[in-house]
Amino acid sequence: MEAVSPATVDWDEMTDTILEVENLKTYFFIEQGIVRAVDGVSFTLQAGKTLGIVGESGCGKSVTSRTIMRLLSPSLARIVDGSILYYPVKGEPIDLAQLDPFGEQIRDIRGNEIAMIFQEPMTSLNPVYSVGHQIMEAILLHQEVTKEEARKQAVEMLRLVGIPLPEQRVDQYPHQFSGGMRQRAMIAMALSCNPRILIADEPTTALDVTIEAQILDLIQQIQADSEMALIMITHDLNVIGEVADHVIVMYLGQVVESAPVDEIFDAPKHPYTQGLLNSLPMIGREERLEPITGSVPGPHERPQGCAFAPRCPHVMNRCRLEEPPSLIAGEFSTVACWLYDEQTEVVYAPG
Amino acid sequence: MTTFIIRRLLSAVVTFFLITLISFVVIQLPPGDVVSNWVRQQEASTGQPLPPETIENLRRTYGFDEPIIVQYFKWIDGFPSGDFGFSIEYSNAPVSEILAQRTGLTIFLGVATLFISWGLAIPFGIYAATHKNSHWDYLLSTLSFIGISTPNFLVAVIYLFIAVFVLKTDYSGGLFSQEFKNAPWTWERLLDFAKHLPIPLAILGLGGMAGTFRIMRANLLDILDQQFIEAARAKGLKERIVIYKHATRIAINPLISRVGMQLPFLISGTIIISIVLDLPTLGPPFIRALNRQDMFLAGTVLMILAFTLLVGNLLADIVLAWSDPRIQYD
Amino acid sequence: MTNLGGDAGGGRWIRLFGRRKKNADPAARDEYQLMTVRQLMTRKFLRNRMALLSFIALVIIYLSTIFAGFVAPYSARSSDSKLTYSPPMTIRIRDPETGSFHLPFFYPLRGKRNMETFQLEYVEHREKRVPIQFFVKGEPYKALGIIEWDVHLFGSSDPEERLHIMGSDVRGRDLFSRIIFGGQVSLSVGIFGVMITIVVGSVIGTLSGYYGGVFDNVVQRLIETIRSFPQLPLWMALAAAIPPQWPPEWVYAGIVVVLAFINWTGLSREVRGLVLSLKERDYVHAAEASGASTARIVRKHLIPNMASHIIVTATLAVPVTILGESALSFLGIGVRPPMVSWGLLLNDAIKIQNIVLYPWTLFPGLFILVAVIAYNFLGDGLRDMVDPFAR
Repeated sequence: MEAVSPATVDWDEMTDTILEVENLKTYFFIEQGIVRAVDGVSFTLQAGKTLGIVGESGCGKSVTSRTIMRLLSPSLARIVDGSILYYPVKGEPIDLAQLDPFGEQIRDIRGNEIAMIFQEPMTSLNPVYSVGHQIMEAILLHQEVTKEEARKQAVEMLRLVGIPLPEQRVDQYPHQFSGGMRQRAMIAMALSCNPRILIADEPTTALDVTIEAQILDLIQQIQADSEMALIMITHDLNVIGEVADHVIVMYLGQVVESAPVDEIFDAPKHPYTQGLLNSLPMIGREERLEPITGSVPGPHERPQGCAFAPRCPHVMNRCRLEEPPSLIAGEFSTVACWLYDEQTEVVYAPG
Repeated sequence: MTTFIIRRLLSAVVTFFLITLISFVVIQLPPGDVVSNWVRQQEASTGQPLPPETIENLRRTYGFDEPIIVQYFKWIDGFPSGDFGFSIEYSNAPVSEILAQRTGLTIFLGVATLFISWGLAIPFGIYAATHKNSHWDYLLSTLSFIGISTPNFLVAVIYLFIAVFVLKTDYSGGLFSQEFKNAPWTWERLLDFAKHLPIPLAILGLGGMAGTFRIMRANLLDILDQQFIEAARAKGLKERIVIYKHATRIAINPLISRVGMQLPFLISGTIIISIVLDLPTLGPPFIRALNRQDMFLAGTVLMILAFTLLVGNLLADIVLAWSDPRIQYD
Repeated sequence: MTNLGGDAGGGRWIRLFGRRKKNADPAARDEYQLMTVRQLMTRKFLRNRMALLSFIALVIIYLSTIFAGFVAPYSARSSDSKLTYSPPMTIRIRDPETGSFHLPFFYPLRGKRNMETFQLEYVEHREKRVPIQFFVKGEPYKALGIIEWDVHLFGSSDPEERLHIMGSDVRGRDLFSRIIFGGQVSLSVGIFGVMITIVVGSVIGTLSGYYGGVFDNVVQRLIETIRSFPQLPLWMALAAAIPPQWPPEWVYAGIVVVLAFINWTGLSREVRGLVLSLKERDYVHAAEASGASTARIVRKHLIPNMASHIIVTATLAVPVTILGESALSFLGIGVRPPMVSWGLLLNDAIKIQNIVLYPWTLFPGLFILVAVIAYNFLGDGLRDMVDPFAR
């Protein structure tokens, strides 16, 4: 196999690419030193498709999404390398990484063309403004409509996301909504301007399982009705299995495996992906769950060589010394692991 | 909302009675009662002993020959008709007469100080929080730290020093010129009042500003870390709107509830600065009464101050309930 | 600071930067370190430069007041009618006329009455150069109240020419010496007041938190009522109740009690809150279930867990108490002469004319300021320190 960057892989019929992230590096410059939160992430997103980003806490999933939205404070985090190419409906692609995070250009895209929903529905809405007011705020910002029309749209959006009695609910405050309803309201807010990309950062983590299923159904249904692309960030492989078309697995700021969802579940390649799957309870599964040993190292103790080496069951000497590049592993997939390099003596064959 | 206010009012009434009780205890604390102090002073000034009947008469009028508890009820019984006892120090004038105008000025100064200190502290707090770890943030934070450590009376003395040596004003204390001191309110008096006001207000306002600034900064930093701020940015809102409409609005709420904690300091500050600058508030008669053990006057001032605090807290609670939809009324 | 923990000795260990591995290779050792809670706290404190600086400043101030007789060139009462309200004298090392350098010296001041304003005006007497001497023999005093001695840290080499580095007061007493002696009162009031606060506050707080019920209700209502008064006026009223005929030492004790009277309420509330949350912890329930006596639970489980909170609260209460005493004495209802305290000394500056004519009478205010700010920084530093995992 030869080393490549996943973005350069010639995906089949990649005509309606909407977002292309290439070798993105976001570092945090803090008192204790530099934290390489996102360290060379690449992926492409196509219209109408869903990209799942999966990994344990602290692996850079959320930072990746916030970097795309340019929501990180420039005094703390800097994009040190890479590009985020956004393909608007008309005109040349825009490199979001080059924009001023407080500038007008990114603000026109935020909320309007790329929207985001967050992990904590309890704290994602401002407690002192009514839910309707907060939805109308986004509508009035990006569309040229009157207040009355914006209000009508807000009610419609609430109806669309399945909130009962939206005419009354629109004037209520967030604390009068339950957790699931708040997340619905957040989705209504995010979708109010018909974005082309929706970034969902762990949208169901804080919710009950039954509510989780409802919210995921809602997102998929809306996606089916529009050509909206979705980036679903989660640590929960079950969620990925339900919604994603393509999956990237992240570990310590890097993409360790990138593959279509079926391949991830049927033939995972990277030992980390295998570990994640082995620790997943499934119906009909007979063998014991095997958790991955150890925990994600802290930001300052990134190991030399492969980042996963200290926890890897198949670790080789080479892994501790050299960092593996992304290797082409299939038609649409890459993996960053020495096990798949021909020079390596394979001691373990997966599957 | 109404039940919330009624409940707060009822609790305030109970507290008020406890306040009168403690104030009464304070009146009784010094050795000897008010009448014997007065008699001692009268005898010292005239050089002649008072006839025992006069003393007896006084004792009976104010009920000093009765049990303490009866005296207490006699004292508070006079409140509805504006009778708070008499003052020895101010030649037997009724306490209410001495304090009427001064109470008004004390409250006026307190409220004006509150607005000035807020008017300065909130913008500075917003600036420091949004420019965290900048040079100005460090400077403002250090100054405010020194500010909260500096006692009011020292602030007063230092500002006077600055006013006299640096600004070369001829301000020599007080809120009125000599000729207006006891005059009724006229336009000229108001003008004179306005001329005297800036220095005491600056001293009081800057003194109260430091604490408010620190809270505002800390609150805003907390709020700016919240998810809904990021969500507001993600909508594409301008940074200015995110900060002012979404963050500041909430960061101010704790300030309102803190008025209750700020008021005692404000009142203490007003009292002590009034004594230094000889402002016609409750401060000067209070210290004079304490020095001469003129206890009806002193006790009543103490009570008025505590009462002001009580009403201030009550108002702050109501304003907060109105401003923050999250407050539960039941 | 690297400690690989072979000598753990049963201390509480914290994982700071990583996991300890059995076969960690020696090269990797530097990346992993383990620290005890105490080491972590000490490190945090040492890193807080302002807190450390404040701590050093306080140690110096306290030592100077403890050895006041030695540090101050004069006693608090020795006066000189020729040098009333003399301004601070300039300490020189260079002769202003010839430009030659000398060991530290000063020119004595000579007063002259201005016949227009009737103010005493002072000019330097340039003919006479008086060297400043260290470890100079001067007025006798009792070091620590027992040892008779007459050596002072520094002073004028000529007993006839008095040195006032911070000026003098209305009776020509050396202000610097009075400030040093005044510190004994001002600073000890803080310590004693807070000691009473700690004892009363934590006992009442623990009792009302642990037992609740009627006692708790009564105490809480009492605290609420005391706190419904503005602090300073209530202090003033209570201080005024101290009988004027009491001797100064009694008045001093009375002031300490008055100051503590309000302060304990805050601490007691805090302790009550802590006890309420601690007594629901599993280990307390476990101790109760295994039959531990209340006294033992309080001693073994509650007090150790509250100690750091109490220390921090107490540290931050010291400056409040110092300010209270200063304010009361400043207003003339605190400690009484012949005792001196910083607030009492500042009382000289209460009149605006005095500030204009004798601005050096503000020096005691500077000392109050430094002590209070230092305590606040120290308290802040301690608060960060007891919470070593914050940030």
